[in-house]
Amino acid sequence: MLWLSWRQFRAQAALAFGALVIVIVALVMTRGHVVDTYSSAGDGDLTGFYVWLRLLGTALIGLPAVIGAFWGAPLLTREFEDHTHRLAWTQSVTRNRWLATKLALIGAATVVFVAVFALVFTWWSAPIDSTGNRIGTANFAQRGIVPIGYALFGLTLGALAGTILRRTIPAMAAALTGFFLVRIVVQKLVRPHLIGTEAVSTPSFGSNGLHGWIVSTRTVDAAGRTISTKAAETTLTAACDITRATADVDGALAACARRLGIHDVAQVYTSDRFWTLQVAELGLFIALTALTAAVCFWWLDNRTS
Amino acid sequence: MSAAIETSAVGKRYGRAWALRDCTLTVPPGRVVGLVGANGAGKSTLLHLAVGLLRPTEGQIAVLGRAPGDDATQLARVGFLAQDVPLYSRLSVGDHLRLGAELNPGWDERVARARIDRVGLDPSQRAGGLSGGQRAQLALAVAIGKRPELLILDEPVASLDPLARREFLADLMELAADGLSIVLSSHLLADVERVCDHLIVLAGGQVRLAGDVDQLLAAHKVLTGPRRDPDRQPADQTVIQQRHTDRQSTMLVRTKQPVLDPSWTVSDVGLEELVLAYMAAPSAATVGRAAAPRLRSVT
Repeated sequence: MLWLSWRQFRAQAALAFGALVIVIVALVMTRGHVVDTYSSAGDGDLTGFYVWLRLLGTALIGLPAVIGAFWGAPLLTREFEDHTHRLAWTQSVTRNRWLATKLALIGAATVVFVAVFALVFTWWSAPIDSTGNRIGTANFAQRGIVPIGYALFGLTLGALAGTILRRTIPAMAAALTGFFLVRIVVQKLVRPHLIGTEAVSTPSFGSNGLHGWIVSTRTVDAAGRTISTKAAETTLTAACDITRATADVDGALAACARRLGIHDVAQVYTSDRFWTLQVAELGLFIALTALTAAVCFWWLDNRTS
Repeated sequence: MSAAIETSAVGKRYGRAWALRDCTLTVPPGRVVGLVGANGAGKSTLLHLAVGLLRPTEGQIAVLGRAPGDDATQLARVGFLAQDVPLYSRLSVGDHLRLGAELNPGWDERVARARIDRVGLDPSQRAGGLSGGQRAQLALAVAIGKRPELLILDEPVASLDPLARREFLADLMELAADGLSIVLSSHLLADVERVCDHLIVLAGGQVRLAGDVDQLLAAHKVLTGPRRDPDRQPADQTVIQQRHTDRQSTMLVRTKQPVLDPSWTVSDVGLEELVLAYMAAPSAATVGRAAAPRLRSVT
């Protein structure tokens, strides 16, 4: 069974890994320049070709969906469309083993492909991240190990879409849409609670000086009650006689807030928790992968026959 | 020896439509069995149930004495050629043999290879470039190579030209002579007549007629004579089909006794005529049930 899986997959695998080699070579060869740009004095800014290389991170975000659409969805739809499932599933191999072998092979290829891509890109980006913020939503999904979880989930989601819809184009569309839907829901609603943010008190109406991902901020009064920014402003302007004519309105507001005990409480993932959050989100997506695969097996066994 | 296929009130529903319902039949082993019926009669559904590609919605089905499908041992006992002969078009002839070897523990490379050689297939050629006849031969080689006890073929020759069809059927008969049980579906009655020694006629998902071809032919007679009412036929004669003109009546009857009435001209029935009569007959005319077909006049 492994032979057949490999025979059917090898052309796509060769194409994908050929492209990966080019990307890796480009990243390895250019990292020196990135280190120079960000270590010398100044803010460091990549130009020209390097800007394009940096966009590989964006490609890394889209890659799991592409794997789902091109490796996952056709896994079954190609068989259904050519009726070859009637050939494959009437040999002396149960369809469960057939699917398990296919998912294992393509899953392994997915892990290797994405892990190499993501880790090399993380290494390449390290000089940039040292001055920036890699735990924030802009960079978190294109660094570290989470892309592996995304890609495995994309793969099984594509396979499931193909199992249910039985036609390639609708299954690809469903895999793409479904994947990004889940990703967005996780990023907006789940990740902020995944390992628990820290609450940090910071002054109101001034720089909070925080590094990391500030998930939310609220303003509280001296008694610890949450108040709206507008209410805080009203209180402060009345208490300290701040008007439009005041010279430094923000400075005055900040000083007044300190005096009255009004301050901000930020919910923060600090930068040093990057890997903890990475492991947690990887675990979440591996669980989603297992769930999707289980449904795929169940459907193939109960609804396809 | 258990039946090749035995079903009991088996049914399969797709959504709201029943492809097969309340189908009870026994396919004897060691024979070449023809499963005949119009398109949509439920032939493919029945065969897919038998190879485990489908599971029945209701009722039971046993193939070689066991539930079809889910375990590898049972899968290994049944060879299957699906309708339109699905093959991996980008894989070569040799790759398909390798597929058979990899996926079947009981694979007999010598047998499969011999078939490929005999029909002159080039192992390096892609399956996508083969003719209909070559495709069928390659699929047959893969199905035979796994050394099944029962070979099931769904419309194996429908897409073949007459010459390829003749060769393919000759090969099937050779395999049957070696002791392989064969079940094939077809709506080409001439082919069925050539190779099958047992016949099952399916219509509307129901068995209309089943039996050994010799016995079926012996048990049916065509009666021609002066016009008369079929209700006046003797009780041991079941009227399957009848045609009436102003003067003459022609009836196809099933009877175990010789026809004694001297006013009838009695002649034998051809298999094609017999099958068509049962396919068209109302279901009450099925074997073993009292028949009361309506009188239809043709003037």
